[in-house]
Amino acid sequence: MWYYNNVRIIVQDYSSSDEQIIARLNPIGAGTVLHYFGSEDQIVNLKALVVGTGDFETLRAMKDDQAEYALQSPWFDNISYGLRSIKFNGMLTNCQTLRPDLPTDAPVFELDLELYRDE
Amino acid sequence: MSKVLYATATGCSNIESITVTDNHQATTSTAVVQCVNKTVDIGDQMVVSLGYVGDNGVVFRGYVKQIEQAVPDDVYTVTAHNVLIRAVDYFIASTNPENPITYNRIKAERLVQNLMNLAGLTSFSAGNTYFTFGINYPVEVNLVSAYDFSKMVADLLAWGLWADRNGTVNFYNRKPYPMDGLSGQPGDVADTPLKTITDTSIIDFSPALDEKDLRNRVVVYGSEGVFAQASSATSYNPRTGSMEQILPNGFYKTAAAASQWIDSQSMAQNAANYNLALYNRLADIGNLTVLGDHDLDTREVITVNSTEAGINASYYIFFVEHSWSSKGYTTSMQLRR
Repeated sequence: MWYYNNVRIIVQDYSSSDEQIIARLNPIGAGTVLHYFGSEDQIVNLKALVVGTGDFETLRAMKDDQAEYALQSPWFDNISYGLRSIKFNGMLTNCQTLRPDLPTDAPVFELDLELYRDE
Repeated sequence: MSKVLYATATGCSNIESITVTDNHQATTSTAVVQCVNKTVDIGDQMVVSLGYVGDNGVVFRGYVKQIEQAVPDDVYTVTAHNVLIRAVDYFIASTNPENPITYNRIKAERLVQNLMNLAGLTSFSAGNTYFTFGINYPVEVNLVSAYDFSKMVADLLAWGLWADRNGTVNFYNRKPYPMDGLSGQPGDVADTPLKTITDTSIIDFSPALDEKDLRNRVVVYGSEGVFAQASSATSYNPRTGSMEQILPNGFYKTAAAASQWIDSQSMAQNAANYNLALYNRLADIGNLTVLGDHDLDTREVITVNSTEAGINASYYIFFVEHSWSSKGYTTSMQLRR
């Protein structure tokens, strides 16, 4: 199961990017010369569902504190990320069963999370 | 081909960009460092090294003059000027206006050295000017900055005053073109090109001819009754290497210099002759951008051998800008000959 700072998230899509910063310079009498500036820290994009306003507000609050929190997943060891952005849609549901520990009429939110890793 | 960029600046970390500029005519060179973290403060010494891993060097040494913090980006912009800024900031004002700093029978280079020492700049190197000030009247220095007075002396002699990357103040016969050692002027030593730049490192190059700074007549006014002039109907064309009729026959563009410290006719005539040799020439200018090269510095002479541009000649580096960022490391120059 996936948790971000111990908030349960039901991940539906995961993507990540790690990029080097490379300038390409072209002298008039030679081939392209690459200048390696460094690497961008990892960016993780998650599409996830969150159940209940409590967890939803907890996630939203993390956007503003510039802190890093552990992302727990079945794939990787705990890695800390900062929450850069959070976009959400409220889903029309009559009866949620994703989180049996919560009331069936708890709201369900569809989130796009962008997480930054400070390496 | 690939290279890993390298940059350090004293007291700055997580550097995003560095720009170091210097100009033959500028008072000081300038370094602008953008960084995320800094420990450096106003007045601290800053040394900047640029280049690549395994091939880098010092391109700037000076003092921090301004620190700007951008919010919300949390990026600091640190601006520093080289050591000569101390002479600019050192304003000479005697406690008693009736008793200013006075010099008698002092060589120009010693006069400049004394003024630099007043500003705390003790690392000084100079050529022999054979110019002596204060022969008939004492030279009084008051209510002027150490730099301004020294620059006035340099301009009269058509010499140069600058601080180098090592923090040494230099006072030499440094013309803004490759010197051949044949002028007969004191300190005229033939230049040896630092290196040859070829198309394999040239990103762009645009040569041009310019007569904006050409002056074919110079007049010098000294103390009472002392004046001199020098003029020439023809001017030097660096493309052909000969004196040619460039301005219309009988038309003179004049430069004037006046100083009460020129108190002999021979000094005035030498000043006029030296400045005519400096200004009575077309500027053969080339704007050149190359792959970043920390060796390239203002006042050096390089050879440009470009098949694309059809040029193989030596040029003086009049202006240099080292730009280091995520866009790569490039060195832009204005060349003259």
